[in-house]
Amino acid sequence: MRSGLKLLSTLLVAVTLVAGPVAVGVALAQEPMQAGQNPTGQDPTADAVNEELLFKHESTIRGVVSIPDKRAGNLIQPQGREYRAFHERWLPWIAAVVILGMIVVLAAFLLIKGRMKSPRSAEKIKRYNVLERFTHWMTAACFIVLALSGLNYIFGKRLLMPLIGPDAFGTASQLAKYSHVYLAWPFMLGILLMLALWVKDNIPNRVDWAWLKAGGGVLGGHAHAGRFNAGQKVIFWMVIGFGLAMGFTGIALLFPFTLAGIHGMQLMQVVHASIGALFIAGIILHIYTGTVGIEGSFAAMGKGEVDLAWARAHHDLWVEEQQAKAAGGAHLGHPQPAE
Amino acid sequence: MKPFVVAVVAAVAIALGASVLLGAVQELAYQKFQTSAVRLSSPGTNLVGLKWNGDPTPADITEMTRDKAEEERLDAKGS
Repeated sequence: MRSGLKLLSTLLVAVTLVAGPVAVGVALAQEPMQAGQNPTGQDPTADAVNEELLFKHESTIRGVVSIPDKRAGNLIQPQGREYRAFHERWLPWIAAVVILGMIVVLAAFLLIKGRMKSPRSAEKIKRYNVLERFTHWMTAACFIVLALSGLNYIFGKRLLMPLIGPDAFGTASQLAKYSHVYLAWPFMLGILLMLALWVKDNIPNRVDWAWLKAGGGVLGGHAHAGRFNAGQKVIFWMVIGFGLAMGFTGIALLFPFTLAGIHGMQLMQVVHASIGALFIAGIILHIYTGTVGIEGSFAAMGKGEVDLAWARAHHDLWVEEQQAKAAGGAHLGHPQPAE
Repeated sequence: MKPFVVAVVAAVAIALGASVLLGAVQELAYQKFQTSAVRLSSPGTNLVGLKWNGDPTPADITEMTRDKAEEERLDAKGS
């Protein structure tokens, strides 16, 4: 009897051990599988998903190193992808829209409104002294080279290289890079000189608000102005602000890891390039108003003196001030034959 | 016209001065961006030299170091 019970219990245990897993397996197989679920219960893409999440949440994925240079521990820098996307995808479009947009707007304005006419007289009045003109032209000459070499950085490989070939483009780009780095210094000096020379005449005041409301005379009526009108003051502060920002970010890029790390340098380059595009557009506007846009305005920086009637039309308050200083308008200018 | 010419000449002069100063102060890209994790193999079989001064002399080259260099060259070729 005892041996019979023992045999029965042994058989029961054996059946349980064999049939149990089979029954559970059949039951699991009959359950409807959820979408995307692996039959083994593992998620084969889990590691990749985690990696992507890691890239999104960490700006730098670092290891631990015992050597003095801790930069060697930087394994992956996902933030660099955003920088690359900006540099390769967004920046060319932003620069093209801003710069070409300005050219199109000015061309349309010129076609519709034409050049702004100015009265003429036989007298001249000194507008800028030699130091002011020297400062302007030094900064301007440097800006032209800096702008062209900067544009080569954005558009060169897309527009210039297909035209002149990789060898010529490589040589030209290297020369452009040298000129960009070296001419940045006289440019920065020019910005500081401009600030020192013209800041006192560029403090905003109530006259500027009236000038803006009158659209600088374009919308009709006479717009009063001192030595610099509101439009010129905007250009001045743009040049000073952008110039200082370009100088600071440029120096940070010239000396890697001195003022900023890799993230900081990428940010500096984004700021440098974005401001550069806006700066070029702003200077195109400045060149337009100083040459084609307003008749007689180029003489101010070209010769240092302007027609007295021109000055009265565009900077009447400044002329009055100069006349008061000279104690009589007759001493201000010297008669010149009308051109 | 004269201020313009003087301004351009001054800009070029300052740029040349900047090039000299930057040449003295700046490090080249391969120096600035290098890390100290570079493996240089054993002294005597590379450009470091036995004295680690970057100036290997012919006297540094012994039969042992020559054999080791040859072995490393073959290994590199094989891999």
